[in-house]
Amino acid sequence: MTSPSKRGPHLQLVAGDHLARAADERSSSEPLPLDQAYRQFAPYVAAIAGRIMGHDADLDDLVQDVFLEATRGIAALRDAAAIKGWLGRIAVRAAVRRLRRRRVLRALHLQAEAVDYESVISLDATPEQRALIVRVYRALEALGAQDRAAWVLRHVHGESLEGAAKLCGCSLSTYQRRLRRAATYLREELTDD
Amino acid sequence: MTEPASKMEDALSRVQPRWDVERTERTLGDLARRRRRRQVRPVLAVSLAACAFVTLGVLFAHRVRSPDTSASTSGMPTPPAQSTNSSVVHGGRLLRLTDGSRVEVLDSKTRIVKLEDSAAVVLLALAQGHAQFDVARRANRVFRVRSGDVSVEVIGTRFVLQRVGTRTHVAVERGRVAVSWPSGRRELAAGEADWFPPAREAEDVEAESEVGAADEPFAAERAPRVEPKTSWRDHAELGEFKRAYELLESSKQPVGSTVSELMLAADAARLSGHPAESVGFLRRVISEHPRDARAPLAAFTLGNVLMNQLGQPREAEAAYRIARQASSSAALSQDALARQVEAAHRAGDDVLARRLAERYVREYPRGRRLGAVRRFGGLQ
Repeated sequence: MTSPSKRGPHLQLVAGDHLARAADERSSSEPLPLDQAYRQFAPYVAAIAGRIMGHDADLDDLVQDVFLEATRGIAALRDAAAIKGWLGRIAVRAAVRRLRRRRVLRALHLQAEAVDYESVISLDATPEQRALIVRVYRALEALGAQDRAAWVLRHVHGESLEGAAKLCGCSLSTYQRRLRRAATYLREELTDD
Repeated sequence: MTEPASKMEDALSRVQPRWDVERTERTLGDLARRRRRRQVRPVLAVSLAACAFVTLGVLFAHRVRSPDTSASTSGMPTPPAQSTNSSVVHGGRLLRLTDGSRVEVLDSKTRIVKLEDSAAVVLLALAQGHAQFDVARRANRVFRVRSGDVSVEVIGTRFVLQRVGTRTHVAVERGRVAVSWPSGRRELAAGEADWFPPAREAEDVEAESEVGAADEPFAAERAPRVEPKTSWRDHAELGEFKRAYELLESSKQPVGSTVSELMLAADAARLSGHPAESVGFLRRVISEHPRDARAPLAAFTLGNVLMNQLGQPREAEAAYRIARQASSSAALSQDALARQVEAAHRAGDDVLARRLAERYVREYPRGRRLGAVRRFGGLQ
């Protein structure tokens, strides 16, 4: 099983080296077919979206939504790095939208299912680590979706400040403000009295 | 206690959504089916859109024929109420100044007080919060922002201030700024940023800057608690000068001897309609803190109060002289000299006025106030 990247947004080729070779051999003037782009970048999109959401329940739909939204644009991009960055931004936007929708549904008592945070925790995590991760994600529930995404991209996904700002589609200073708000809130929430 | 950062990072590295080849292929099939379904929808969508467009067109035509005269012209939000001689800008607003500079507040808790906004002097106070200042380049204008004990003076630049307790973070995005505090002064260039007063000189201990700590999973310390407003200082820092002066006067709350406190008391007095009571505070700044970077501005402000509000031009001329001699700002020095000319003329000392005017013409042949100086100095 090829798993999404442990830390950082490194590309994981899910179908083996032949896809990598195919990508290298493709001339720069040829657009990347959607199914090939999907096989190449779906794990990356899933890693970002799953970490922001904190659970697995909607992940299939969310990843597909990202590629549906990207359908027209992918044909216009040639460079793999550009495609990856662009898909990453769409993934962050899509996850933020889902978080906001979930919050509204919860406020209206229309969402009864509890969130299964363990569904995104690696099988090799210790019980202590699991408990800590669940505690962090429960605390993240109270944050605004953008602040939550900012914090997750940096401290869970392992992105650089500049890279995370680009994924959030905002300036570095705006990104740092969101990060600061989230960090301040989490410290207060997770400090034992 | 929170978890140590390394333990936390190690735990968070275990957040890994389970996505494998099989899941990729399965969802790729679902994606293809969803794409096919989407191709059917556009026809329906176009029809619905056409109906909606026609409906909107009819409604719009009806509205144009019978305009609502009571509607606001622009839908702009009502500007905040302004206190006498100052205005307070809340979070979420863009403040445009008369010299073309702009201030953007960066969070909802920010309060900026406009103490003076003229062609020669722009003086703002960052009472709390976080703001970006985009300062227009104007050679003969002093632009200064006070943030507690810290004062930032600029010529033409863009910078961001964030006030946390008694310290202020200054980050320069374009140009240069001069930052001063009770015991020091430093210039920052574009790309530079730092906390002021420096940590070892801070009166209150702030454990770690928020900006640096943002790169830890959790901020280093809690955000400063907002104390309930009880003292005249609290009201003055929030631009509530009338209330600040009432407390200052009625309860006789003492005014400390720091420059910040004296300047604040002076502002509370003059901006609440009691200019005579501001004179004492401003004179104390000049006499007790002659080497402080803010002393020239105190002297300039004193000159304005004496000449324009109290009708004492002779005393005003002396204050402007102090401002000119003590200032390291070319803009302030030039303006102070121009005002000296006017004050000397109003005091009836035309010999002094002429001498000062000749000096102004010599030192500032293209000075902004050349016309007024020639007139008051009898050089026309």
